[in-house]
Amino acid sequence: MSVKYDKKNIGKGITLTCICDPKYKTNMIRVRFVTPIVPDDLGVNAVLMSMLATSNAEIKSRTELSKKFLGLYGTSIGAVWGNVGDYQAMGMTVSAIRDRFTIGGEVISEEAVRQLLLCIFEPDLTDGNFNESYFKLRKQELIDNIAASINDKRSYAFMKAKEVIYEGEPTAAAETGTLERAEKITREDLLRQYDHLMKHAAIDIMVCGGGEIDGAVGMLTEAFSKMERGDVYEIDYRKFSPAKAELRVKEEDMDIKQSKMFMAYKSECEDIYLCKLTAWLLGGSVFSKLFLNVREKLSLCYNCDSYYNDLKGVMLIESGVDTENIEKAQEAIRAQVKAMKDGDVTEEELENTKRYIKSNFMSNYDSEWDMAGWYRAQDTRGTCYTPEEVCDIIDRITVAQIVECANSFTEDTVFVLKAKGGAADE
Amino acid sequence: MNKEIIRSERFGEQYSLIHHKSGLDILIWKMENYSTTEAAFATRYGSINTRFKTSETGDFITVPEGIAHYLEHKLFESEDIPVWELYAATGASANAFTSFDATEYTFSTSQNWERSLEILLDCVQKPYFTKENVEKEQGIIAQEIKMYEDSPFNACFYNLLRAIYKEHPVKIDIAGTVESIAKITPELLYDCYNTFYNLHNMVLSIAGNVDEDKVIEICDRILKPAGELHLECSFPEEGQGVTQKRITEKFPIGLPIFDIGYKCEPCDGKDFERTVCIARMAMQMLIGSSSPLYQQLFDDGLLNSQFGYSAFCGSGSFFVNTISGESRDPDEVYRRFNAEVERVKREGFDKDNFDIVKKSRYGSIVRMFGNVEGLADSMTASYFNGTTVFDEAEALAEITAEDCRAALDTLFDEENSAISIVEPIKE
Repeated sequence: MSVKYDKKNIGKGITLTCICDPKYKTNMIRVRFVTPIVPDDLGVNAVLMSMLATSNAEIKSRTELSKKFLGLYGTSIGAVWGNVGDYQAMGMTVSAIRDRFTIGGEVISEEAVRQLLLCIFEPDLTDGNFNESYFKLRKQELIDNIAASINDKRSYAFMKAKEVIYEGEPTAAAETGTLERAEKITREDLLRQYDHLMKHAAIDIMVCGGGEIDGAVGMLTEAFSKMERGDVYEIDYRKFSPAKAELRVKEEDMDIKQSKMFMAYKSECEDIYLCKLTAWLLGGSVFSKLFLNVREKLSLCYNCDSYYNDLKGVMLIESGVDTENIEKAQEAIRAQVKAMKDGDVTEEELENTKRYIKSNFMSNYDSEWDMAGWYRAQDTRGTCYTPEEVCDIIDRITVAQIVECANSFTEDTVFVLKAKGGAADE
Repeated sequence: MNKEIIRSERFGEQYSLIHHKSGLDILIWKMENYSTTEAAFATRYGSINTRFKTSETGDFITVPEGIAHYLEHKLFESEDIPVWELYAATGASANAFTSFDATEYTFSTSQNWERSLEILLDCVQKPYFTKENVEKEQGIIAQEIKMYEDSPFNACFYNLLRAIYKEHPVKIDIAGTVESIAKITPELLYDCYNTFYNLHNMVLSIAGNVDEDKVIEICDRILKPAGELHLECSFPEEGQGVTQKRITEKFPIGLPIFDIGYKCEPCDGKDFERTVCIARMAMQMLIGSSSPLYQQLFDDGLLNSQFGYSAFCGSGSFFVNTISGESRDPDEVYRRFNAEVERVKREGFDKDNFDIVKKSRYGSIVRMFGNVEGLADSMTASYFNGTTVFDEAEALAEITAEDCRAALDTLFDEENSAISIVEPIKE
């Protein structure tokens, strides 16, 4: 493949990764600050990032900044924040079409990066503090978002399931923090956290796209390499979730039509791609054991999928089922897990799953977003494998290894957001 | 068989349209240096096609709601080896989707696309419906329906369609209801299949890593020539006006969510491309993130970032401009938007803002040319509309700020609008 990958340190705890393939039509630039999860800071980070991404010292109005980016051929800027294992990663992403595709070859990349740098290094401060009315709106928006987290039943159920699966671990916290904390956030919290991130967070910058962006990369390098930094967090993303002494089952009732069920299995197996392949074979495709048996044969649910979180060593099985079928579905899922542990894995199943997963991995090359995501995931694992290299690793996995890996997983948690039955309308 | 090259001088991009001897039209967009092949085998048949006639049926027949979606599920079943198993040996991701006016069978793969194409063409041409396998699917689809019923966003949107459309079947849920799908039989499925899965009513779109000669060779081998199709779909007279101006429902949610919709006359062909383009630009200028109205609504705490707008439309059949989001007071958002439309009707759009929005639309089109899946979808959608992928850009180049202002009367007529709100259940 014609992708060029380069990663270097440009400051204390600051890395710059450039991924370039001339077939891409756009360039994407992402700046992320990474710190250990501190529950009290989660909401502060959300408000801070949403403020930084929508104004700066030069363009103070959200509307005007939006207009500026629209005028750069619809360049997008957005705040990002989320939990990655026991860490929170937050920052901003800009995506712009390449200069060669603008009308008359207008250079837009440098202005896009200049505005991004202004958002990060020169926020809109008055008398040394963030704009008060704007802060109040953003804080209210956070409060609204926390209240609205119940709107999407699947993601709400997932959030509640994580609280039980990862009980006592930082990653159990909701990414936006709690309502109680959100209501108490002050502008001083924002300033304190802004200074903290600039001095102590690990910073990773990624530029991924079609290239012709040397000027912009130079601007990023210059700006970040000059930062005054203190002690920087050492980030080690992989920290396995400890298994519970006995199976934990929790249910929560809600006025919904279909129950949402999460079953978590934990393992100490260190081999990421073996665990991934095991989870895919169990429930990662339309020819997987869960799909063919729990959905197709037993018609118990529309979706029944499994996936592996390599940072926590947890395999999650997710399904939507009728309340009356919850026990049946659990039995059916457990029967498939047991079948794998008992060695019911054929060479054909394994080869089919390998082909499927490899095709997916290779498809990453066709999108700058997917390629950025690929190398971001590699970073969290301390590797920088190409998709081809991972395909080679996958190819070497045997049925015996899959069975052994399946046996390393123990059922740890079951969470059900349970439909109380009946319609929710008046 | 003959071939047309569809080319854009403006973007230096092109794709092929091949009229295959079987009756199927094939669209191929070869993308150099891409790994993925995306294919979509699609029929002009969606949830709205519940009443139709052909030379075989004689009179119009009416079929149960949700049958197009049900048929989509059942085509993954064959008499011998399930389609899933066939795909399993190729590494491809296969899927299928039913929308209001189309059904698509797709695969995406970065290896051995030829075998996946063979499977795709073969399975869609070999229906296998029995009493047993049709009944078995009811449980799975009932779960899918219940999953959507738990979505307040889904409820809000369908309520809007029910408020806006008096008769048109677009107001019916794509999957139907647990009751309506219980009426589906193998015979009805065969009736629908034989009508809508005629190759003259379908298109095959392939984008990415693909070889045109090889595609034709596979099609020559697998496609069975289709007889002439005399299909007529019937839709009730809809006319102007809405059923109700305001519709509400309660759900366990945190903050009210809303959809505001403006019913417009359906259109097709280049008129459709132009109208959609104008509608999107007008909404961007009226209430998009760079508009004064958005700023006011945001400053007044009436809108947050969970906000969007779109032209929800099907070529020649339905057209609603929608504004969606979360708000403490959706009615006030509706009122202010209508007031803003009236202001712009009087004063016109700001010329500088128009130029900015136009550039932004141009940027979105450029982005699409690097998206393999997006191009396969776009080829299919424009084909069913009787246009090309490049027609939106050509329309965009000609549109003026005055065109956008002039279209407000028909695109955002308050008389033809409604609001749907989902409110939180109070404890």
